Amino acid sequence: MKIKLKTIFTLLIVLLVQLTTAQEKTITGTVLNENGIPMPGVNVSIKDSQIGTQTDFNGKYSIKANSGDVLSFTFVGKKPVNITVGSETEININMEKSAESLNEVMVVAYGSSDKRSFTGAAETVNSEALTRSSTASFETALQGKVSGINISTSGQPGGKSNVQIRGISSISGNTQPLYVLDGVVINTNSNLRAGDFMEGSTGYNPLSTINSEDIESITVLKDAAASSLYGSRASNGVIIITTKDGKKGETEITLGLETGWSQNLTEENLINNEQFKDLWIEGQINQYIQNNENAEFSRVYANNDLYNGYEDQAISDYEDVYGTTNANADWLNALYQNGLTQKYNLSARGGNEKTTFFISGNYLEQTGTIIETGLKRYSGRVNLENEAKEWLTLGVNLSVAKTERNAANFDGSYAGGLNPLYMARVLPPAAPIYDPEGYGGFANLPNDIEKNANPIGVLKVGEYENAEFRVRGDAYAKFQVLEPLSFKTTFGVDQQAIDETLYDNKEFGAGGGIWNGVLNRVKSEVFQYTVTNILNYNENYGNHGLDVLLGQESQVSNMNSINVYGYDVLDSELLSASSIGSLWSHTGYAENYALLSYFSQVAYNFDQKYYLSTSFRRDGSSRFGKDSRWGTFWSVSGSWVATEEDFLDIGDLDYLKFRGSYGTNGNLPPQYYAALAFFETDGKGYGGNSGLSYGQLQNPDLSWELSKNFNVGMDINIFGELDLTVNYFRKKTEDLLLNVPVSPTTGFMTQLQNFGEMINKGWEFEVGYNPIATEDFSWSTSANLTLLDNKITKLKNDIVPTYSSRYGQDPLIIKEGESIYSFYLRDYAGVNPSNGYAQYHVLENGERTGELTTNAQEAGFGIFGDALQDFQGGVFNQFNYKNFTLDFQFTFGMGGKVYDRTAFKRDDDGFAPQYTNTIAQLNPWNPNNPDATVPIRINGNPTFSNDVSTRHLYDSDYLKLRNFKVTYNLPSLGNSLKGGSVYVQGDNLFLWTELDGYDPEAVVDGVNFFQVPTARTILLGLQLQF
Amino acid sequence: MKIFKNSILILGLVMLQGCSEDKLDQRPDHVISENLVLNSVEKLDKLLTGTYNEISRNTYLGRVLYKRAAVKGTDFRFVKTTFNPRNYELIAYKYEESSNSSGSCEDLWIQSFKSINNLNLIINNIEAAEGNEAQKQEILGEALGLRGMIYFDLARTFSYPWIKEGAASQGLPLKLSSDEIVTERSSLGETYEQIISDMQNSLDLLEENSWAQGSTQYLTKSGVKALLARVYLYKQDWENALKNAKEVIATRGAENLMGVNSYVFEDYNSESIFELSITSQNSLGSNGLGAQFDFKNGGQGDIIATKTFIELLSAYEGDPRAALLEEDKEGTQQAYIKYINRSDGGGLSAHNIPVIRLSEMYLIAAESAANGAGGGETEAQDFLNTLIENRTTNFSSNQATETGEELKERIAEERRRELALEGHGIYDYIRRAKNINRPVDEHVNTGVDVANLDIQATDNRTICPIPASEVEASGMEQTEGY
Repeated sequence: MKIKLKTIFTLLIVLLVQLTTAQEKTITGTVLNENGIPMPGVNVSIKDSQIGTQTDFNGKYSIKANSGDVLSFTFVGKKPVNITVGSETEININMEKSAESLNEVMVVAYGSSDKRSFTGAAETVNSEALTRSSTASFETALQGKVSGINISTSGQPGGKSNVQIRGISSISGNTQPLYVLDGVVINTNSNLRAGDFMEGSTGYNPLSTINSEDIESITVLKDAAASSLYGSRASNGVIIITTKDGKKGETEITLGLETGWSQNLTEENLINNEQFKDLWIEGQINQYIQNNENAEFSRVYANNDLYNGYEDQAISDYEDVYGTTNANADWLNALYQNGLTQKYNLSARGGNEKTTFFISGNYLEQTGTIIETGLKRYSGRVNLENEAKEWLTLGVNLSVAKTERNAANFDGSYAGGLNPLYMARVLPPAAPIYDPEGYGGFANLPNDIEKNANPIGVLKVGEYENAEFRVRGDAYAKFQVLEPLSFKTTFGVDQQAIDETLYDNKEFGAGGGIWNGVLNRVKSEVFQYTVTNILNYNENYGNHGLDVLLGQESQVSNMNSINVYGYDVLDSELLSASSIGSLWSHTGYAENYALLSYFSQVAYNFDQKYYLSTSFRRDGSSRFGKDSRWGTFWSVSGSWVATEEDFLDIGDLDYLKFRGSYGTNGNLPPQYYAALAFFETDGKGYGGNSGLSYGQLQNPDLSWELSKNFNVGMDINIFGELDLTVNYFRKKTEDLLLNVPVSPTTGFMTQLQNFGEMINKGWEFEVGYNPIATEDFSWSTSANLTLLDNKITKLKNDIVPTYSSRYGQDPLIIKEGESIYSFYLRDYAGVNPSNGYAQYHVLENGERTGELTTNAQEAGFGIFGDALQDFQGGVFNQFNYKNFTLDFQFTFGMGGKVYDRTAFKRDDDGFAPQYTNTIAQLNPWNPNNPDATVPIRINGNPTFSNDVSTRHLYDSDYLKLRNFKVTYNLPSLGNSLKGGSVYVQGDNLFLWTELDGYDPEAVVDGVNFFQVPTARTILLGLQLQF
Repeated sequence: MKIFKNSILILGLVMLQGCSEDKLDQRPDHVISENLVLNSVEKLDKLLTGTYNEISRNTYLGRVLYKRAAVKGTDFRFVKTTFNPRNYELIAYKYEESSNSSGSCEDLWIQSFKSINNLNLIINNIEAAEGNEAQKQEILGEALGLRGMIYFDLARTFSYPWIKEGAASQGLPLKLSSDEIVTERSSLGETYEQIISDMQNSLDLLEENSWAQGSTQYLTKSGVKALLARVYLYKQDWENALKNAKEVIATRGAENLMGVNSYVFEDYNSESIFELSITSQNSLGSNGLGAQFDFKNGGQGDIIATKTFIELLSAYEGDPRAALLEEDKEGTQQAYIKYINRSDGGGLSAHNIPVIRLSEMYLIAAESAANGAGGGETEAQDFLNTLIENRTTNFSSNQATETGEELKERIAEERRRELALEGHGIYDYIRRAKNINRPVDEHVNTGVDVANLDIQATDNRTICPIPASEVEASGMEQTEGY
């Protein structure tokens, strides 16, 4: 009662003051956090007005206000502070961490929600964290930051990444999340669909045209409650990107400069020239013994005359090919270089009463760790919003970006003479790189290994450029119809223009020899537009809160391409289509798709204690078969804020919320026309006439993959400074889109059908804690952990790998009852000490019979683990001392396996003696070295010892120092410079794992196969705010 | 009032969107939908053209079948491993086929059935399609003949030869219509019946040959007849083999045999009966047939002649076939360049591929007669000598005078010389139940396991297993022995 009286008294005083002394003055002050550290970017506004500003880099602000105005200080993750202006002109504020950041507004599907009332599983990451990665695109920064998400990244500038939210839930369909940029679903198709012949554009990353500096926040939608409103495309999760918007008040200009160096994090240990020669000769001797002496190695090795005869023969064979002097070529050194990164960023953010804006420009230049590769990006953005009328707000978000990427034919599934990365990693040190007589000074390869395939020559003289021009944007109008009822209509566009030049020069690679250069010129264009209309009704009736959303959306995408491919190129400098002397092909494609949707969401709460929400979406897609064109997706979810209950009033437990959700969502076929029967015309001509051929079987029933998602979770805050979030999820995906094997007597190997089921389930834990917080020093830490289990529960057939003479047997099997990416291998049992052959435990139905065999054909196969990590997570620590900040992030994984498929060519016991080896091949068995752990070396080894077995299987447990940053915050220099920082940052600094040359965060399926090595990067940065 | 205005605006926007459902019917414009093709003779004719293209692909007659036939026999081998075979078909050479790993057999199986399904669509729909009757008859005739040829190639590759167990051996799944699913294998007898019936029906439909230059790039009446002779030869139906071969010989005559001075494998040479046209439309470059044997200009040149074959070629004085030997990757004169790259032809492997030609008719006639058909051994010698006369400058000393088994052996040798690299190699051994013996010293360091040098004619690895993908998908019965 006393308190109440006090409040009334205070209010009266305030009212009086306001009435009497209402005159404008300038208020200044500093905002500090609970540790006494200045907080930049805090929103300072006068309540019930449009006036506002932000604190600068030193936490200082300045605002004009009248006595009696209420100043409101808000910041994500902090309790808002409201202060009534009295007579003072300086107001200093200490902001406290809010319990579970309850009032943090997060952007969710078709709207926003505060964290407290959100019933789904979703997580928000702010811009500071997103600009941490030195890659061109933002998504790589999420690794280890958010539970339940796993990202593999290529080391190639602008290279592809593979993002998985809560595991992999499709075998043949898309496994990447849906990306929504400022409310519009964007085209993130990484298949350029331009019919590229030489795969020069493999590894294309559709997100690299988004400047991460422009992003305000990312929301990762994980469960059905969060994502089902996106219906047929949401089963891989949804990532919502929100770009920075304008701020009322003085225009803030931010300049960022970064420069840095990168090198390979991982590199294999290859043998030197002398070792290569010794192994080659030993293999050759053994081959003679195998062929001429009935493989009686011990007898021949014991007979000096006989042995010396073969040795002389072998040495002379070697010298015939490689000459008498050692070339000592270091192919990797010639291929790799130190990469260089430069980044310039300038942005302005401001606005007045009615109009706010954000404008930015960015230039990024990265050279890769492989010679002649790199990325340049020019990008700009304008975000504008205008309050046209009291009832109408208009806005536009627009970004334009141009990227120029130089790559080559690597990072795809192809490994052969035209893949320079592969070639450099398999060529022996005995093969010289340079030859003063050769074209451009590069040597041809000995004994015509993949003739003219000198990878350095291929890269130096060839051209593999992909230029992209991208416009993404949307314009919207918001109508406040009646107070609780609003309407928003949005028109979004996503325009992509690709221009690709793939040139194999006249001397090296595919263009060598008779061809006189091979050129592939591709142009393609994809235009996608989206129209979204949303009606929103939001009202509270006493204790009852109601939020209703009704929406309608249509999206249409039109793609067309022109592709010219031919040989006999006029000149290496003239790479237009008309320089092609003779055409191999000229093709053009047009592919379109459309999606039409209706959706609604109803959210209800009682007393902000009990929350209930449902969503519903109906999608019609042109990609479905004519008999199953429309799909319905829905979700139901609820939550209970237990700490709101009177009976749950436990001292330090500030917040406790339980959540649960169940619902469905889908996954579209990646192919646009997989349901139709048709005839192909391309390349089917004969004898001067054009022809047709049956191209695809019809499947009128083709539809979406259906995921049924269950999620329960809770959010806890204790002592106000320890946050804990736990989720359990189970996602069952049915009607998997599978290239179901059909009898080849139909003329086809497979048909895309809906068949099969898969379950992903697991736990997610997130914890955040601030153990130390004093004025000068503070420490905060956060960690997350994901436990994931995948199982394929229904399949038509096990997809058993078959042998390929080029790469050996595929180590992966897709089998009912097993995880995806399970390894299907022989059970290696070391070297048979008596004859030196690789031996195996004989397996029948995957079980050891107890016998050993040296005959790989009889060894049988079993399943030996899978590529998915059982545990995966990240730990982040941040230390502040006065103006210094130090933070670092570790990521880790446990329980996964990796199969080294490079061994088929390199650790091959002589199978292909023209290629080099890693040091794992040294000291092979021979009768004089019977205890060897490496099998006998025979050139042209016929024993399959290089083929799949547990010999090449490794644990992929790892610990990585993923990010490290030291920052010094600059003090402000009067009015000209408001603040800033200088920093040193490192990415991918250290990695501990079993297999050399392998980064578990670079490969999704656990097969090590000549991928581009991960880049280790050091950046120096400067950021200034004016 | 304001609210009223707003409501109208909203209504308008919603209406604008409501009518776009037909957007959901999206069609590609680089492919043609089904009904457009099947109702039109003109389009079915295009489908036939496309089928010739499929047949000429590298996974069927454009490489795989011919290369496989060569490297499994005695006369050709892969280069030594130090000369880097690209090993597409190494499994065939090494005799390492297994039910799990069939090498290029799988490609051959799929490509054959892809072609067969095109043909089935033609055969099933041509009757009802709109168009010219004579054209319909021509299209149907060619389609039936080609289907017979493809089933025959499949039969000799995936089934045991007739000589082993005759009609009772496992044959092929006979898929004769586009919409039925056939996974049951017929007997070899039924398979041959179907092949012969297709070819006979084809003969009834096709007009007599014009023999215009280039006309043999399509299957003609004489082409079908020649193929039928080959089918009967494999079926050991000597009388019918002889009859059909003689009919073709009667049409063309010995004057069309290439001679000692005119032995050049040009496109549409005088011996041409059926050959596949390879132009820039279907050229396969380094994946094509010619590039397998010729390493010039960046060809692979991985397959070279064995010493055995070189000795065989040196038997006759002035044999033009020996002149086809050129330098190979290993620096010896063992590259056998039968397929000469057209200089203006758009890269590597720009050469037509003979499917069947006049010399083979003489050899089939000779072999059939030597096995008792027609005039017996005398007639056999006549046919054989007609050919030999055109292959040596010293006929009198190389004339065939053998009888009995020796004569049959002589004919077989002549086939190896004449038809090398034309898709006969191994087939000529196993259909006559002759073992393949490959001397060790010819195959050192080529990757082959010495245990796999000598192969019994009845060994399962002389034929292809039903590919694992087929067994997996349809449960088709695997061939005995695999």
